[in-house]
Amino acid sequence: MITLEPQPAAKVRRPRVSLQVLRASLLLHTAFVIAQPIAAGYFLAGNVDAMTNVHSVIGGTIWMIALLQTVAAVCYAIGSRGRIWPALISVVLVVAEIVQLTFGYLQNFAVHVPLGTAIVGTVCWMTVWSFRRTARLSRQEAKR
Amino acid sequence: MKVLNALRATAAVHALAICLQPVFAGVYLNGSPSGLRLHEPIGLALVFLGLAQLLLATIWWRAGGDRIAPAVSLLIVAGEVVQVAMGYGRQLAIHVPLGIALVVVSVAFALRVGRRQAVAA
Repeated sequence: MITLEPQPAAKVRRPRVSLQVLRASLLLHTAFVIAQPIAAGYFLAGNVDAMTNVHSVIGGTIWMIALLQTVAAVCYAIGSRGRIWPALISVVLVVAEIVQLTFGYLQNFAVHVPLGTAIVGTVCWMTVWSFRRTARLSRQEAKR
Repeated sequence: MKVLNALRATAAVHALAICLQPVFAGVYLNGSPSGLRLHEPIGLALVFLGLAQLLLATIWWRAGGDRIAPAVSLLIVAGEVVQVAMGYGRQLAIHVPLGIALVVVSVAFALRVGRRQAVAA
């Protein structure tokens, strides 16, 4: 007589450490991108130091934080089997921030201001998403 | 359902209009006065669109919809009134970051309302 014993549920591999690293890099990124319009506003109000000491310094380094975020998002996607789109959007952000830096130095504000707004929006949205329950799910679980 | 659709349409128009604001501000900062000529009336129209959005969000909430919707709409209208005042007052240290915050919140609100299911009531 064959007895069927209940099989233990297959262990689902979910992103944990990589998600924490992604969240930390996103929080850092958010803090820097939010500081940019504040510094730009102070500069336009007449405070020149806000441009030379804050806006241009953060602008020159922020793409490196986006690069760090990309590494974290790739680890989240490949190493921990999380979703792929955060890595793709992080790569887009790196490119967008380099373009943003270029247009800032060229003083082409018709591109610099709306692109900056889009970057702030995207980074804030990614950060909020990373703290939601859905970010903890693996790719396979998210498909269901 | 009709109220939700009207709210979706208003939120979509509001979000699109508010996305134009940084474009025209940038055109003005590039040295073209036409940028400001478009930035100003759109800014004023956004306050009225925000009020319509608040009204519709309140009606939708009372009909069984999301209670967050009127709260966020109220926050947007209050932010836009301050934004217009800061713009005319040339307080750019507040006008620029508040403007970006309003764009982000308005787009997020339009997306959230657009994805909500109608209440079966």
